[in-house]
Amino acid sequence: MSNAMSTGGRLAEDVRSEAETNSETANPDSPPLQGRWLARLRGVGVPLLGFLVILLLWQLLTSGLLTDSGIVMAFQPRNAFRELAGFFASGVIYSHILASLERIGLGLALAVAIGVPIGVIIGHYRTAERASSLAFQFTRMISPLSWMPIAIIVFGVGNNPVIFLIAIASVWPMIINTAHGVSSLDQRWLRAARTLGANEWKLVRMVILPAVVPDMLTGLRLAVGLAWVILVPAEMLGVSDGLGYYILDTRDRFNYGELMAVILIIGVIGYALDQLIRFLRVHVSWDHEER
Amino acid sequence: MTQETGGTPSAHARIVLEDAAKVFAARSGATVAFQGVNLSVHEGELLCVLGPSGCGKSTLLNVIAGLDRLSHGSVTVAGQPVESPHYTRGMVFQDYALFPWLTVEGNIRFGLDARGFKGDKQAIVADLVALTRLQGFERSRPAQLSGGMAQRVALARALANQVEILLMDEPFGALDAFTRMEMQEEIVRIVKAQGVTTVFVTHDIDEALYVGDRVAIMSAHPGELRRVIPVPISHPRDRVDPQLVRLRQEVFTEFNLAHTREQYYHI
Repeated sequence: MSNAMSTGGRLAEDVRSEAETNSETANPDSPPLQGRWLARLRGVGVPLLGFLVILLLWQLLTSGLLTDSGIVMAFQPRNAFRELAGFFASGVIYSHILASLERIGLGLALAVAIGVPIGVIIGHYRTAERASSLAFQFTRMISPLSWMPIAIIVFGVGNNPVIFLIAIASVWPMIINTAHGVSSLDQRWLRAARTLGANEWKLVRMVILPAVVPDMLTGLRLAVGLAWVILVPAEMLGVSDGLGYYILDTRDRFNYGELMAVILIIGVIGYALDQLIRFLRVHVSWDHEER
Repeated sequence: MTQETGGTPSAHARIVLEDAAKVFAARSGATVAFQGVNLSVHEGELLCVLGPSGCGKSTLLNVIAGLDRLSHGSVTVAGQPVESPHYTRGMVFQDYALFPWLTVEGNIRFGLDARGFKGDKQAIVADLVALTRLQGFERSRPAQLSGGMAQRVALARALANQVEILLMDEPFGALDAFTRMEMQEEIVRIVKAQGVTTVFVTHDIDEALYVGDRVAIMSAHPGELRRVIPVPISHPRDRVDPQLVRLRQEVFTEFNLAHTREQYYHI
């Protein structure tokens, strides 16, 4: 961290002296290159600054400045980071992270497997779109957590109701984005494919599905966000591992430093998942030239 | 208007349109794209359909492709009525309509893949890459290509199916004048090398006369076939060939005539 900052300072100086002696410079390539590095550093530095403000606020609010309640002070960043280090030293957290990721993975896989075909049908057939829109808009607005009692009655206690809740939360963005992609598909591609000898099935497999990959990934990004948010409360019922379970566990043990450490882990993994999908969106999707 | 303008349907006729009409029904009323079209396209010929926008020439092409159905009359290819698209009738669109998620090779191979073609696809693709002079661009994406290059890919993609009929819908409309002239030479070279019957739709008089063995002239509102002019000049053609210049005058007169008649009515 401090290393990056000092590098930044040195870079800024270099650029300044570079500007002064620019006409004499032997290597004409270096100024734009350094300018790019500076821009990239600024690109990282400004968001980091925002993050530091949050940390500072966290410290202020728990430092005993506002209240001298011992419980509040137990939430201090310093405790959280100490417990975080402890997690990785003891390895106790790994099984919980793995359990959560497994549920997320299975829930999302289910959402994709159900959402993409439904999205293709709705996007492709006007009647299907009209028949489903009211029902979907209605169902979509029901909090996935309201299904929890039903999920437990149907699937029993354990992994399955959690996976179900994640799937039902994340299936809507998959359906809606896939359908939107299919309905706004360039019709010329379909016409071209038909003159090239593609039948209905080949149209779906060779044109419609690849064409809507960008939309599906947009849907997946929203789905991952929703799923990760739903996961924690879903894991608070009927399971004995996972990050959601562990939050309640730390509360029951009055270990608030650990609780904040779990929250940090949840945030970091959520961020990483989102970045992963963004990476796919940019590097795997065929339309990345336009973005 | 029922006179046979495109020559009598003969054993040489590959595509035959008889009293063909296409009417689009809309909420605001019906629109006639074209009507009373009698036209034959001969085996192996390159027929240009020339006309202003709104004369229904693109719709005519879609009808031959099987993408649109006639409202009246008939369209047959080798004696068989056209009812749906078929891979032996390839189409090249003005804006290329390439598949952006596939490479140049992937686009060319699309028809073979879609049909489940079992032969040596790689050899066919390699031949077409050479024919359309796309060497070195096999792995490029459509977004990286210039307009002329993209249209070469679209042409190769259509030809990969070993088409009997090639339908080109203002294929060079989006290209600059110089690329367009280059592509006109290319299309004649390629089409003649393949011996494929071609219908080439354009609104560019010079283009029609440069590439066409015959030029079918259409007028707009409603779209009607006025006459078919043969261009009895062998390829490669000289753009300032006196005979070509004379034909150009003839075409101009054909379009101006309609205009003059209309003026008489107003007086």
